Amino acid sequence: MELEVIEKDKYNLNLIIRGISLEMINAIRRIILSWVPAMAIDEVIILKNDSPLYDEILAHRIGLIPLKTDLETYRLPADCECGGFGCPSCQVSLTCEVVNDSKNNLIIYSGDLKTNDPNIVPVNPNIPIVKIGSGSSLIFEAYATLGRSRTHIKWQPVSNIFFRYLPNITFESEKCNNCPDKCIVSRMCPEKLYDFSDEKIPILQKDYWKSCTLCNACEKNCPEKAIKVEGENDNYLFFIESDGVLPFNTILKKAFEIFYAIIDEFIEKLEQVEVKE
Amino acid sequence: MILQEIPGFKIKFGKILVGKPKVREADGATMEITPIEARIRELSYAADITLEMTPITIDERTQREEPEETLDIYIGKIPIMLKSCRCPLEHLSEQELINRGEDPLDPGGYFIINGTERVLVTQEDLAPNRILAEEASRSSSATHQAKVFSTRSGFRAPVTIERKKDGNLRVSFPSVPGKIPLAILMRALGLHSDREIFEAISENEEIQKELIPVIDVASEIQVVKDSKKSQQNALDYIGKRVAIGQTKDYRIRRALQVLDRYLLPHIGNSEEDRIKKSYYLGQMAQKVMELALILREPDDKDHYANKRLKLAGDLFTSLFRVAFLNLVKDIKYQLERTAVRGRAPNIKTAVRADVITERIRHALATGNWVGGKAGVSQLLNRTNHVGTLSHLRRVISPLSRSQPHFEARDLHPTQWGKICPAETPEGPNCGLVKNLALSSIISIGSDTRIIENILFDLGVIPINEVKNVKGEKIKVFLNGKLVGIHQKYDAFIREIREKRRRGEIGQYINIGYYRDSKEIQINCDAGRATRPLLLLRNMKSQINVDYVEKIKQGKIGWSDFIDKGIIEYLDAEEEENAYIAMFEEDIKPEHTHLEISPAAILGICASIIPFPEHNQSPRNTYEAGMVKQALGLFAANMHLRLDTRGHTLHYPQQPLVITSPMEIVGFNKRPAGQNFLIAMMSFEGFNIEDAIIINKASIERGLARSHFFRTYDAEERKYPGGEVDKFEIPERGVRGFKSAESYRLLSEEDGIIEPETKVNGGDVLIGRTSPPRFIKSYEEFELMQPNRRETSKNMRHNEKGIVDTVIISETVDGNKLVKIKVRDLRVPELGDKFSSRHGQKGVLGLMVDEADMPFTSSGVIPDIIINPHAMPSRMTLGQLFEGISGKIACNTGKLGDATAFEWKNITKLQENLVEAGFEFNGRETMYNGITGRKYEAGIYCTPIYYQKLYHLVADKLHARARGPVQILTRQPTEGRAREGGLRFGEMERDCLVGHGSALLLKERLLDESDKTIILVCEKCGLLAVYDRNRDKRYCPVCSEGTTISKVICSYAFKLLLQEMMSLGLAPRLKLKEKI
Ligand code: SF4
Ligand code: SF4
Ligand SMILES: [Zn+2]
Repeated sequence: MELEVIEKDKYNLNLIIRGISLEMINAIRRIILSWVPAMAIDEVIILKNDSPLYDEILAHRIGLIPLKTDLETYRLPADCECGGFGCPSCQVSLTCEVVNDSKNNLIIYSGDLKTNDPNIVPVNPNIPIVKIGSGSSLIFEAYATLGRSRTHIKWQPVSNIFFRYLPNITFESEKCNNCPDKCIVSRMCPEKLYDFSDEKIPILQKDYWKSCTLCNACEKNCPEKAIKVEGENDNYLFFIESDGVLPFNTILKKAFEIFYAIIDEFIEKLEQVEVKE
Repeated sequence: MILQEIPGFKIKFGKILVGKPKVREADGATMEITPIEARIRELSYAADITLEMTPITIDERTQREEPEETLDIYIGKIPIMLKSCRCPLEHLSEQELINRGEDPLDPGGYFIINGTERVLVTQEDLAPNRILAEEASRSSSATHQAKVFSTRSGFRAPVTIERKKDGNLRVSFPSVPGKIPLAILMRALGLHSDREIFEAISENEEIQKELIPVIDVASEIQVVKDSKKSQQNALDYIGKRVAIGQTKDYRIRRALQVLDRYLLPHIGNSEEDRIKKSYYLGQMAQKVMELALILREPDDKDHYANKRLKLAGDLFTSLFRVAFLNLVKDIKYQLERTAVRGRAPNIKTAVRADVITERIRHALATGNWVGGKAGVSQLLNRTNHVGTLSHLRRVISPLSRSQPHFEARDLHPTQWGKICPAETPEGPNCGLVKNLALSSIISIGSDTRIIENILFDLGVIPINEVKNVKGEKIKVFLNGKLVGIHQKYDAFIREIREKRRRGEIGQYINIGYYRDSKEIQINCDAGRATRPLLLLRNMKSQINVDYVEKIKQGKIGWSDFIDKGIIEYLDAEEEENAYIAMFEEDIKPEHTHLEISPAAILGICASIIPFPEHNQSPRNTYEAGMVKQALGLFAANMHLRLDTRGHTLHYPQQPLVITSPMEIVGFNKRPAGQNFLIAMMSFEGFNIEDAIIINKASIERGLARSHFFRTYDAEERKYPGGEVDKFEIPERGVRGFKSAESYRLLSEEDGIIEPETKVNGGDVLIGRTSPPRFIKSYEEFELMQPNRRETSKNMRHNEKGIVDTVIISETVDGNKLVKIKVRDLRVPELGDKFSSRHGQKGVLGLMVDEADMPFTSSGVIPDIIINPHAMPSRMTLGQLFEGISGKIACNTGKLGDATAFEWKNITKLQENLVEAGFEFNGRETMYNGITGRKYEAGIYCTPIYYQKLYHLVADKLHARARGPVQILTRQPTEGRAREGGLRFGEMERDCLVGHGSALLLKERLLDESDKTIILVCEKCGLLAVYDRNRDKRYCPVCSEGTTISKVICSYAFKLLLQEMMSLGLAPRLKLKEKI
């Protein structure tokens, strides 16, 4: 298996993975999406709410705020010694108390949440929660726990994760009879991967594989069948987009940890049952 | 207005004044009210009407009148239409409206009666005072007929002339039984000779020839050479029908009275009008004859020129007229009573204001209008903003919905631009309930006399001078009434039209010329549907760039264009003479007008549909009906309002693809729906039959969530005898006391639940006790005073929620009123109904985890997956175009425009899509989320605006094991609200019979339904009785000693036996041993 990083920054990780089966890469995608835990507010106790939003809506909005997650310190409530009742090792308490004494309306942002663990804070302090009028106030306590996105989407550790086949386009220039009007293919390609600036024959951009969506528009529309679009088997482009809840390393490490744990458990169970010869 | 009653006294009525909306509180104070206060406190938003009355005493000897001081007397209350000129809201700025608790975008135009918002729905009617000639129905004895609905101040008198098979003409009109020969009637009205009758009908010789049998009939009354005598005879002929068995003198007097009052009242009711009436009858006869001789086409009843719309004003006029006459009658009665008692008349005490107030309030609250019309006032639809607006622009036809009336239901070409072609309900009301088009404006009437004088100034020759005129004669009608003739119609018509454009006569005066029948129809009455059009001069509209700039700066507005004659209103009549270009580039020299916007032919609901011209037309009709069910932001003051039930959508969005009328209608500010990302594919088949597969993650992120509200209210009533209701937690001894458990949520202090309490079905919201019924009867027997009754307000048993608002206020009677609004979060669940804006509705069929959903090659996961089979048979291409346009909008950040008829080159859309970086057909490469495999086909994946409709599973889900039964039949109750059973109907029964499962059938229909045991006397076969005191069974017929047997049967059968017995039948059962 070969790995190549195309792009990596705080929010994006784009890889080329060669020599991996479709089942495996999809399994990784699915494990990250629905098994890797993340922190999110699960319980909100609203003490005072003068805002026009109802408590339910407010709680829903607060729950969706992405929080920085610490998988070292915290455990899933179900795995915790406390049995899920809530204790410092599975729960973080956040509070918010805003009183608007100004004459104008005031927007309450995620940054107004005060936390008792400085490691668990909203990834972005500028997410608006609600707008309150002059003289109104909003007071609530919130409890964040770890959770998995299979239960609720707010616990999703990444904001987007997907892959696609590494494209492979073969262009037979002999077949191309450089169409009299402009090359239809160059107009049809949604990603504008063909140049038809001065040459008679369209030129496929060098790094077309980065953005080609395998839509086949070029293949289907070329009257001379000069183009053939294929996805390479077992070679994939893999994209993870994060909102900053967890660093990529942790996400991937945790994903494999979970993967191994499942396999280990499977093997363990398999050994327990007597397999009849 | 003068009113004469008891001798020596009369009252002169002066001006009538309408004040501001006020309420008279229980303590006597009068206060101005705001609409929101009226809504919350269940008051009527109504103003006082005062009438100036001057009592006049007449000296009995000298007959000198002695007026007393003029008094302003309060005669009743009249509901005020919101935002009308009498409503204080009319001129308020947006901020002021907000301060008063109003939604600044609320359209007004409705009334508030007892706290509920009511609309007076526009009524469509056949135009009054117009002669309509048509072929008679095949079943009648006539061949052709002409009909006119002569209407004068609310009184409607239909007059019909029929041409019989023998060529005779007969007239029927109200209060005269049977049909009267035309010639006799005309004679009675004062035409002296046969020649005059001929002339009054027609100058056409061919017609005159046909009239001979008509004249012949009159010979029986004719006295040769004595026209006076003939007239007397003619009158007597009528008199014999209306006053049978009276003296001749009386008969003639009565006949004259009938002619004046009931024949063609719109012409007049005095002696001079009689001759005019005979000419009018002549006109009618002419039309019939022309039709019979095929000189003219039958009139088209469904032509919109022959329809008039009655708006709230007209409806109120007729209602007030009746109410006021009632009041006058009542004043008379009161005064007579005081006079009988010998007291001096006092108008202040004689006027009972309740007469008018109650009459009007009752009509508005029930919708039963004067003239026997029902459903005139309706509860304003507040599902969403468009629904409200559409309701205010609804038009109802009085035709019965049980009859087919095919022609009346059809869309008539003259409805173009006046009535929406798409928006009408399906089913029995189809085509009878209509909606005004965006461009439609209802004409306001102007004074006929002024117009008539203008016509004479312009060279119209009055009828009485017509005889001596030679040359071309073009008849000129004003509001259906013949005023004279004109000889140079061309210049005359042009002059009137120019006068209107110059603003010299009213803007709603329309003139139409009929070439084939040589008639000019001028209309200046109220209630015609008109529509604005750009006037063309020299193939150009008068609008230029200058104006566009000025409009943008707000310097000029709509009325300026009317005043300048750039835009004019045409009614269906004048439109027949106009040649209207659809677009500017189509203009040819023959064109007279230019359409302002072709999209304005649609109504409010149909304007929400993007690309409607690309949809199959019924789909637009379905959508126009469905948009009224979509959840959204129905009013910005929803927090203050206490509607009995309502929904609000969380995060309503403006559509990505808009139409320009949407902006005008206010849909973008009060939207009802969200932009869903759809993929069109089958996906495991769970979207079969239009179901929708939804991404569970989208729901969890807040897609299509809504709140449901229900308001419960209770009043502390006062009863005669000083007894009162009391809000409290009922004590243990109170009759009907539930368990202490059910009252746990109530406050100790006042017995009312607190806000933000979670409540479930059956929980008590307001604890209340009432005094016992029938106190008197207990007193007589000196029994212990019975306990008070429990009359608490409970939650509906199948609803849950959170108490949202608790409002305590006071009704007009000074009773304490508590209103409690309970809200319930409605997260989309399986079975909830959704629809796109193209009549493509479906229920939620499956919720899929995000990981299992298909994703595109750029990682986009759709919100919903719809079935491709929804497209081919429905042909809603508009939906596909909407998606493409929406995709472009997403990429360019500019909202897509999908106004009807604006896109002439739809392929341009695809080019834009490729430019925006998508495949030209809106498809995406997608991967199966479960296997990770790429789908072979590209999948149509675009953002489309979806509406959540109010048919939610939470409101419909219902099952029952045990539950209440009906008292009469002892069968399970019906309906969800009553916790009813599910009907095991005939077909279900047949099914079990077919399976031969008799015992199951017996269990369903007997054991689990109304099983009962009856006692039957084996000797006589009648029902027997069980005497509990003696523990004995006996037959009341055969007395004791016979064998009595128990029979198991259904209670309904026992009931049947008893009902037959009550009819005097003796249903005998013959019993046999079960083998
Ligand atoms: S359409 Fe095909 S054949 Fe024509 S110029 Fe383009 S690549 Fe060549
Ligand atoms: S497959 Fe589609 S995206 Fe790729 S090069 Fe061809 S047209 Fe462009
Ligand atoms: Zn714990």
